[in-house]
Amino acid sequence: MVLQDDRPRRARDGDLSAFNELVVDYQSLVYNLCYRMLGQAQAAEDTAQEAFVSAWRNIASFRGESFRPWLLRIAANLCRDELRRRVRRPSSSLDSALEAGVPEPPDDDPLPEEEALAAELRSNLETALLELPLEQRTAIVLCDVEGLDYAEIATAMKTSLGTVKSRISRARLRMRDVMLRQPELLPARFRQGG
Amino acid sequence: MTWFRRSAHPEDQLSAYADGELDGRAHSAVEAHLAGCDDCSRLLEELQAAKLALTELPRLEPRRSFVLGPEHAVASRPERRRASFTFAPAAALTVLMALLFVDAVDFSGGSSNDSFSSAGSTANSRSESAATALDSQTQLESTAGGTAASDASAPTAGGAAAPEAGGGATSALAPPVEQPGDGLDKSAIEEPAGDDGAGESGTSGAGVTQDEAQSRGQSALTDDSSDGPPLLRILEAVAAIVLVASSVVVFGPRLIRRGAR
Repeated sequence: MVLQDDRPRRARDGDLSAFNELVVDYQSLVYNLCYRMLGQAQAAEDTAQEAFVSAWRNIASFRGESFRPWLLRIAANLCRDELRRRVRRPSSSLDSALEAGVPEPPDDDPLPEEEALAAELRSNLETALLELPLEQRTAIVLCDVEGLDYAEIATAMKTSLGTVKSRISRARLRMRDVMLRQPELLPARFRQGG
Repeated sequence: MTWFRRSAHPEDQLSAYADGELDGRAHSAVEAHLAGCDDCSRLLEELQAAKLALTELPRLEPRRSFVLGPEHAVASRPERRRASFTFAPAAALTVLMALLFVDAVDFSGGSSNDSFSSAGSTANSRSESAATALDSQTQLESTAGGTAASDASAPTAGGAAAPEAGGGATSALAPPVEQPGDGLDKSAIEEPAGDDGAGESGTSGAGVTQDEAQSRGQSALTDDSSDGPPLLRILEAVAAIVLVASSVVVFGPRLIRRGAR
């Protein structure tokens, strides 16, 4: 995504309208990260909103590096805090969080059986994502779902490139294992490519 | 699936290889290995399939916008001002430390200067001695038993000036003299107003006069410098107030926010 370079700087100088332009550009990205981290639409919305408010309040700490990983770091930290709060509140189970997920997006003229298989595969992957250790989940979501490169992920997670590579490697192996448990769910292109 | 000895196959490199994140040398090494290893090639394909499957997860759109309202604009501006004002406590502290240093040097420098300029001060006092002699005598008598600290500086000057010249030169400047019963006063009173009383006048009152001259020189100098401390005190107080106020402005809200979290 190509953005005007001066918007983060103007936001840092106190220009709320410039910051809100960035919000519009990044809200889907942040929301998807929060949803994939938390597995719950409402919690994802609340956390995403909190992330933007926090980013605005701390805009002075933005030093001119890439805005996207800086913003996603804030969102990832808030997701981590929310997950820790859930651990302290046992009534919030992971299963109930998954059940409260968003509706399936419509496919373009899918075959019923194929659609069902695809939906089941997605469900398995989403469940597997939420079962990953927090740091691996963050890394793999930022990489495969959000499309960040390893350097951006290292910035967003405030860690080294080597650690990012290790976390992504382990997370992707686990995702691969999930897919191999039910190979019949894999579309033909996956099986042929595998 | 048969797994191989980890040390023989770059399994932990395959994801980075699939993502294009290996540097030239590592990329070439993995590529060379893949060319001759079917198992690693298969694993690479499975990892690429997992990556693709995650990439194809539906991209969700939030049900609402997260754009911030105007109330956030008001709340955010102080952050920016405070960020630019952060230097104020440090600057105030620096100024305060400098003033305290000058204050300390001023006191110690005043006494050391006395040793150099006591003769000169007594000479000056001689020139003024006629006019101030009576005043200094009066002060000596009335302030007998004055505090030692203040007396140590000023009074000696006044006391010395009187005997020397028969009229303490700077005694007019000096606060009450220290030791009335010292004999100094007496000698001052008894001493005829003379010109040579100063440094050399020590002979007439003998050692007493010399001591008086030196002490008066000291006190004269310290008297001159007595204008410094009050001004320094004021500046120090102002710097301290600025330091406290700026610290509260800069750090107070941050502490409150941390407490709220």
